[in-house]
Amino acid sequence: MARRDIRSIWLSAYGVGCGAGFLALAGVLLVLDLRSDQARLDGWFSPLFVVVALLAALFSVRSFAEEERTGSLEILTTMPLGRGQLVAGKILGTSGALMIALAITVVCPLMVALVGNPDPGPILTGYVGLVLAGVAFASVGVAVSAATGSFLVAASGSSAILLALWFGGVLARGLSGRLQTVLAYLSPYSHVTGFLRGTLAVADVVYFLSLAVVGVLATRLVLEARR
Amino acid sequence: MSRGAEVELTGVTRRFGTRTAVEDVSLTVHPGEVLGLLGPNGAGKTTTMRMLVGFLRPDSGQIRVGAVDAAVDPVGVRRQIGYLPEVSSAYPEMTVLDFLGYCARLRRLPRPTRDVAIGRAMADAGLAGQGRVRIGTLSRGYRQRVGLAQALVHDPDVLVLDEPTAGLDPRQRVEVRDLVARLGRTRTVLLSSHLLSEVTDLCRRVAVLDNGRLVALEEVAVLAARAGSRLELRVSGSAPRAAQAVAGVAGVESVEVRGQVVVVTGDARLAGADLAAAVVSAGVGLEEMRAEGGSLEAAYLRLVKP
Repeated sequence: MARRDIRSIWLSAYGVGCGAGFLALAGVLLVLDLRSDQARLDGWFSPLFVVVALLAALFSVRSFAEEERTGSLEILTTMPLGRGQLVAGKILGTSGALMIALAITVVCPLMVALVGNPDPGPILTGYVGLVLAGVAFASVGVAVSAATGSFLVAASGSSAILLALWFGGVLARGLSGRLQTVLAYLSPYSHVTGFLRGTLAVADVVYFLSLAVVGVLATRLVLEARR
Repeated sequence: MSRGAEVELTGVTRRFGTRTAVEDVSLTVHPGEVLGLLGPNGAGKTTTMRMLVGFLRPDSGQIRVGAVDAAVDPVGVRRQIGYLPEVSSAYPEMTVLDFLGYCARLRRLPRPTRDVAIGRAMADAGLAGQGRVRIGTLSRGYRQRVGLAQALVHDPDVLVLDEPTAGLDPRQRVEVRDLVARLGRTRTVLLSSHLLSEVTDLCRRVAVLDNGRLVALEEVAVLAARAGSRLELRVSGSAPRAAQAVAGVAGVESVEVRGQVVVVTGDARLAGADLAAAVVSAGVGLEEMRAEGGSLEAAYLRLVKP
């Protein structure tokens, strides 16, 4: 199922368009980052997380909302698969399509390496962070996609949730007290800093894995509720 | 030899918000039987089928396929069923072969038997030679066949077909009807259709749903006979006197005079000989008598409220 979904995304005009837009944005962000004349990429990775969130929202609509709109969901959900298998297949499919987009962006650090001498550590951890965030964002996107048969509602709903989570962390920097703590903990923004600096903090890895698990559970709940 | 599994719905109810789509429906489909599911739009046919195949969950009641309870082992139930939805939508970007291969993998058909199973399903559904064609370029009739092929690919014991001939041209309709008749000899088939002639041809028994309730579960012949008969008597002389005479005959439900023709409808007890005797004994000549037997259509129209 995951393989079919990856092919379906990347062999469609929609998927290619979204992927091309993502890569173009990644290129623009690289150019902006390199204006500092330093061969470091943390200024590139940081906004790339937001762009990955948007791409996850756009790709994930294909998982359930598009299947419901076209009617193929009725055939798929009557296959002899457990709900867990169905959800896992869909999240793997969306995540796999995202990973292909991320893999293409490797060209960017390679180009920087040609003209400078960037530190490989933060690049490596940056990609680990992007992969973890990609899976977590895809998982949230799939949950929203399962809740609606509308392509637009799924795309805008996933984007809104992921951007709200992200900018909640930005907002938290200007706050104090318990609200600040909660917003900062819930936001992916607060959990990417370590990856950008070249460190792999267990708390950050656990955060993204937890977000992915929440997405899986939410998708299962939504599917059951909609039966 | 019949190898279908018995399908049993017991007291199945499903609500959507405040609307009850299916209410307390109980029916059994026997192995090797094609059971027709009839009813007007919105009667609950598709909802009933969707509950059977696990797409929807009943609010109450029990669904059993073979020895498997759908509430206990929904995957086990789905494994036994091939389902053709009302709107059969496959993935338009895939070829027929790719799509059937995908379905076969999801149904965990062993790799060595997969190609044979796909070939058989394609042949049964009349898709031979269409394997490399993209589904999105097929006509509606052929897409319906693709849906039928995916329902057959795992050679299921039970087939649930929601209006399988909808959108097909007359030749395709006959082909699909023949296929269902052939499959129904060895499998359990639940078939919904708006075409009463199709149901009459394919099914020995029918279930009629109206407003979510099961209003009849009967053999087609019994249901049709129960719908009664209609006789037209052309008389010479006073038609009103003839009408008055036949009104008292056993089984007569209504009498209508149309010029020199007396139209009599009645139940299964209605006998032409009794009517003829009544007319003659009233001193009216009987020139011609034409009888129409009870039909599934007449039964359906009586059962289903407008």
